Amino acid sequence: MGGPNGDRGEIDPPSAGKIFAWAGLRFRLPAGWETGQLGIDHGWLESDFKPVMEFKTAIVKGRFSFRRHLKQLAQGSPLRVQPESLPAPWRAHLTAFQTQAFSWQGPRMTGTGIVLYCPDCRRATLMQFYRTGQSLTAFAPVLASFDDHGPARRPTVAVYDLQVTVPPTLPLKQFRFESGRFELVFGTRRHQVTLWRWSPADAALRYHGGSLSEFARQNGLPSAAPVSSQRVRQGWEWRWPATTPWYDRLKRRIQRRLPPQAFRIWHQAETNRILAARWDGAWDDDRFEDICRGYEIIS
Amino acid sequence: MRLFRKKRIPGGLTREAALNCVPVKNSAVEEMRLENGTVRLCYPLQIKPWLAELRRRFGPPQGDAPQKQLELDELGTLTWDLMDGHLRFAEIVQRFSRQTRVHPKEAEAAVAQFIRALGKRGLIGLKPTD
Repeated sequence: MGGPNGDRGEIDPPSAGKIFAWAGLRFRLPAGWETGQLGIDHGWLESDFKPVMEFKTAIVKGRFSFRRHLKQLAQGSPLRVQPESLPAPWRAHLTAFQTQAFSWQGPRMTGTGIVLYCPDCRRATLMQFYRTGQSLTAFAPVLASFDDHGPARRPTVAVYDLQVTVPPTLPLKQFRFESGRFELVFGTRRHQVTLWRWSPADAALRYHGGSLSEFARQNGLPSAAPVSSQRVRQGWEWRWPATTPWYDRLKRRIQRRLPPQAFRIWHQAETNRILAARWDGAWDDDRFEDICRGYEIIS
Repeated sequence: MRLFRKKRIPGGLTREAALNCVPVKNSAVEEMRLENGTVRLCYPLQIKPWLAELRRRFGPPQGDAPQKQLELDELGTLTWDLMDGHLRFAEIVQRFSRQTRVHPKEAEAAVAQFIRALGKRGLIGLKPTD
């Protein structure tokens, strides 16, 4: 949102539609839209297996120039880009941003796009909407719900079918979305949180003899002997000692590995998914608990 | 100079075109239903022409074509069963996603990978639709 208090004028953002959050951006998806492909600072969305929107975002250092960015877009791609005035259906939703709309034409597709620049957080976002017989009004809900630096207690990542809220102090370091297995790694040099999601859970568990702990042993559970293991809701949790002998600490420092602290795995039978979270490094019980609580499956 | 560089086939299917194709099973493939409900496929091994010629000259006089077997897992069997010669790739993805409750994008990647793997072995082909 443009304003520091999330103020975007008279129009309230829509509350319907699946939330999408990635690379610091958040907005709601119109019905039928799904996550397509994702990169660390970009991605595309699709509907019925066809692309509907592409986005790219970055924090701008120094002065921001729309003209320069559109020129770069035209030079770096086979697109023909033409600056245009902001379409009327979008105008009311973007009062908090500096904007520049444009039309683009690619080898096989055409569309309309917009570059948004938020002077508060200095984030520039390029969005390209594909014209697939839809009017520009169809894209208005995306812009109406667009938020690039809202309150911290909002989903950090909401893509495909998973949603998680991680504190801003733990940035996304790595991610992998393979069919059947998703992995997200957040962290700094001091601590790291790894989240997994497996699907379909019934087939994965059958393959491991129906045992969730056996599944965990082969998927993310650290090999070091835990000090405790306990049943948690729908799953298991293992803990490791918060302090380790000096030679272990030295070994880990040389190997540049953080010591494991906790690993939790749970089976959501209602969604047919297995979720897991692991904390390595300086231990923070409350934060781990918060992350696990905010890690869920969305549909 | 690269004399032995592998020849690239021009063109290729776009994602949209592939999703509109109908996967068709090779009639030479025999399928065997196992006790656990999964399927074992027996298919003639595709060998290079020069190896086939070598085999014809020096191999067993009236030997059958060498066969290979492939045992599918639970999800592979489900996809194989969905390939009835009528359903399009996109429809198979939708049904797979509904039956296994996986995300449609994940289902697409999994089914595409499976079809590619079977296609490489010559067990299925993709029939374009109008």
